[in-house]
Amino acid sequence: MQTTPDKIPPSPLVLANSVDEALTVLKSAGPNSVLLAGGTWLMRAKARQEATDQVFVSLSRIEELQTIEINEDAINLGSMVTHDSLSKALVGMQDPAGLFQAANKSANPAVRRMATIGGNICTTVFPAADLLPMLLSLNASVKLKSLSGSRNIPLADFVATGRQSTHDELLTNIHIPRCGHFSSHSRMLMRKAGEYPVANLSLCAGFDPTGIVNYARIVVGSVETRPKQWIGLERAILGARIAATDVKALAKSYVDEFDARDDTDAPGWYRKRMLPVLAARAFKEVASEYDRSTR
Amino acid sequence: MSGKFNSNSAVMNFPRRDSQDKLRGRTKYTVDMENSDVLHAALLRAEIPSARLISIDTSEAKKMPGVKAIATHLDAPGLHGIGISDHPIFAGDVVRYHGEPIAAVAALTKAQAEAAAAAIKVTFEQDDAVLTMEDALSIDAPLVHPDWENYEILFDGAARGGNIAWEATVQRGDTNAAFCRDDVTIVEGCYRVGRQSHVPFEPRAVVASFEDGRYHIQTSTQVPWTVRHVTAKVLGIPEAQVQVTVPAVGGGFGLKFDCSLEPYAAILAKKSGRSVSLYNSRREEQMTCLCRENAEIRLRSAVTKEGEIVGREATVLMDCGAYGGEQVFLTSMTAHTLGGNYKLGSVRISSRAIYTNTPPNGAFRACNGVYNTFALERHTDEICSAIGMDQIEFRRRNVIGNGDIGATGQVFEGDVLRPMLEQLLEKYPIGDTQEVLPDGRLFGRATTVGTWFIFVGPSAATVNLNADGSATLVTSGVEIGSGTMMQSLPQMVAASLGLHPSDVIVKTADTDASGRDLGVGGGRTTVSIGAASMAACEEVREKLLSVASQMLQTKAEDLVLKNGRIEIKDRPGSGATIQTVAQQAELDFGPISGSGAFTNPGVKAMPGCASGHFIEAIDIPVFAVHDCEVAVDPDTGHVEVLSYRIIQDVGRALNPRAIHGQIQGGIVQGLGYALQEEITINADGAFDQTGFETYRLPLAGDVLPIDFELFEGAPSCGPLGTKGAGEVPILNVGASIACAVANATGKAVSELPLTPPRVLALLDDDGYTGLSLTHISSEWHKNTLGRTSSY
Repeated sequence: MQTTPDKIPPSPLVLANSVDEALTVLKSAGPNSVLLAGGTWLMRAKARQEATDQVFVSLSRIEELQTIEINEDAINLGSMVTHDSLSKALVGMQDPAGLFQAANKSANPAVRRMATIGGNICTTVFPAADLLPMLLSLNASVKLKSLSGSRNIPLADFVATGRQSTHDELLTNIHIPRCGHFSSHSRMLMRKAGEYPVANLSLCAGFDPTGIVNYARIVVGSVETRPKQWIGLERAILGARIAATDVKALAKSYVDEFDARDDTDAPGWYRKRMLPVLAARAFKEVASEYDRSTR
Repeated sequence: MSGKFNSNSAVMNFPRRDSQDKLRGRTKYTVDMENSDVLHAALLRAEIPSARLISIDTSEAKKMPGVKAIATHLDAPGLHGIGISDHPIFAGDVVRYHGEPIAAVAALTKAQAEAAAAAIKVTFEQDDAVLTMEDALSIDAPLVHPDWENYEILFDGAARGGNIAWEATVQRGDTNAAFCRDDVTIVEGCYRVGRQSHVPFEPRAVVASFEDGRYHIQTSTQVPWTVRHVTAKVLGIPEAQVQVTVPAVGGGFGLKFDCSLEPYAAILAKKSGRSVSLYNSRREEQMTCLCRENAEIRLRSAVTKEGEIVGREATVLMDCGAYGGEQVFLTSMTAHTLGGNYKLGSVRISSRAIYTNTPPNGAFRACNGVYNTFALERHTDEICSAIGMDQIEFRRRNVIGNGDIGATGQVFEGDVLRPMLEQLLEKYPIGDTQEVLPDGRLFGRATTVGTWFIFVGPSAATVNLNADGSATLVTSGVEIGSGTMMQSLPQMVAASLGLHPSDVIVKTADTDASGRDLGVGGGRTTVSIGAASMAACEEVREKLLSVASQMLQTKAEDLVLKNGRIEIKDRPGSGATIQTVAQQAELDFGPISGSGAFTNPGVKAMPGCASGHFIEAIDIPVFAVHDCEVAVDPDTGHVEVLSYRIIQDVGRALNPRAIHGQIQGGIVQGLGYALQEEITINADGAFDQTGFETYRLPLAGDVLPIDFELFEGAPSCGPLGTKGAGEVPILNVGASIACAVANATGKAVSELPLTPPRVLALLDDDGYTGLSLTHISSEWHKNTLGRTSSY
């Protein structure tokens, strides 16, 4: 006997062909619509016991969101650029080396091939993003497009306001100025093979000709629910001769800036304990790159 | 009448016939057996750990779209269990754990079944829950089973009481006198481990139907006869009304060594008149996993300065969760694992299964042997520190050898552990090692020993010799991934009958066709089913040789079965093909078949030593020597395993390549247990680790190739001298890693897993001298229910 379900649900997936189409669908579907970028977070909604009865608006067909432009002054990325394609585009470059590391080491190969930079920025409930703190340390800005126009704002402002994308706007581009500094991204994992970090630290640092730190932007991810600038350490390290500085010892004095989260992945005290280790690794790396550049 | 066959012909690296399809995803597991005729089922599970149920209202759910049947406790009145019948399949009046099934729904789609399950209205009054063994043993603890005294006892002899589901004790010799000697050092330690989830890639799954007055259950199980028995028992029907067949099983590791989802599907099939598919989501599979249990252990030893262990006291608390289950049985194993490895002048052991309001636990590869070996080997190294003796030297002096007696007084046969230890040390001599590596990490090495056993018991087999010269082996064996059904069994049958293993068809379990069997687990398939198969082959050989003798006018003892032929001894190419002889036999007598059976020989323990034990002595002990080197990062607490090598007692290696696979897999599973895999239980009585994001299995990048040598020739009653080889590789991994980390850090490693935060906390705590489990008394007799004397 052939049987069929009593009721076939409506199609929950819209494959938008343009940014305007995506925005139109978002607006009409209202709060029950969700943007689908790489999907690596949403695909696990059921595992988190979250509802999956929304209308998903996929951006995967929109070519303009997948562009990578690298020139002397800036790196411009479409929001649907994947971690994998980003890392391939950045191989061997000096100033965005940290961005390469964040894209190249995040999660695992399967996730990196799907997960996008836009998704990484906009998934507000995901605290362990790798690209986001790195982009913040590189002073990135984002372009938000609506049906009536677009606006550019610093990524830091977007994060500070909760990354609450309304159904009127879509994050389309990420702009990363090339500052000529050195960058590094360090991650602390609980197992060797790779996963989300229990703490990460993104560093963008500059040195004067004598090897003294004259610029430092340090952003810590995964320790709190959203990335946070490590202001105390930034100030303390300025003016230090990096080769003669015990960064780990210095950083220990400033870990209390963080109110670390306790969860199943790791206890808060451990996350905080790892920050000086990560800071030391990051500074060691950029110092090494700096040395190499001066030879 | 038939001569012995050349058993060497059974030894080969025969490849698995199922590997191609499994690697390509073509194999159909039970979870894949869905078609348009099958209804889909879902369970409504409790989301609280302890409550009195007031009402279960299914009226609205019944009206939901697609719903065809709903079942509750009213449909399954019986209780089941091991040792005690304490387990209903549905919560009826009482909820005892988070995740306990309350109702089952069958509908046209899985989504409809889930929606209807969610629409069932349950009213309840929440009760206080006991979530830890310490809480369960406190004087005023609520009882998980207030009616524990009224349960049917299935196996006599154990002490029970309150939240103590089962207590097995051992007393041999005068431990009090030993501890009072003035020439001994007394060493005491406490140890604790968490749960481990099996994570088979196929979750527990079943498709059931009800036809012609009988249930047909197709299921992903290791124990078809247990499923048959338990389903009948809880449904209150004769066992003969249940047929169980088993498609390819996508991994088990012990998780499927018990009946689980099958009765729900059976009930829904009968109520709906349709086939019903039920399987766990990955989340359900994790949250209701019949884990390797969490355990707490206290060990106390009296040791002379020469290293003689004159007295040992041990208490092991095993969390059985809300129902006794496998842990009741496993209390028996403490005597042979924690009480194994070493010669003991006197010993007493209390091994207790404790009820808590948490998900029930179950069997898992080498079961409690894994953590008992961890505790024993850490305790052994602590003894060495206390008396100032080298860790290797202590083991050389004390490991069990030929004629030594075990904890329960059984006499061990053969020197096995000591030569294995020497074999390892010869290959990997202890050299001068640096304490700190150039990168600042702390280096440690450890060598440990372990004792486990082969779970033997009854098996049956039939061998049909087909007219085409092939043979069909019919048993209740199940291919769970280890390859036994694909390699060792056909290799043995083929060797016995002069065939090539590819000419042996091995039928997977069907309780309507094959004889009773205890199931696939405990390393028993090669041994027990193998022995039954060999006995069946013997009958076939005799019949074949009898016919061939007539045909060839040659005495049967002058005939050999070889290469698909029956030849006259020393005359290659003579005689006839087996196919020809089989066809002649059909004409003369009918088709040739043979049946065989096996059960354990029953090694004796010392009378009066053990009480409450399902197994007082082990028929086939299995030994393992492991050695590893680790580097510990003092900044992060990360432990990297630099090398791992083992010597494994296998009796006889029929398929070394298959054993290699089991060793690599078993060690990796042990590394997960030792370092990464952690389950914590929250205030709701649920696991915090709900899936792969938080339950950290080892991934490819976490593992290393395992160096191994096989130790052959140890005594075994297994066919052709075999012992099971798949279960034991995991045995000493937790022990070896823990001892190596302790050697690297100089810290008292008392808990597993050694996650980075746990290791860092150890390194931080300068004054740490080990765990103090105050709910396990230093006075051993206080850890018993008083049925044992305290001298």
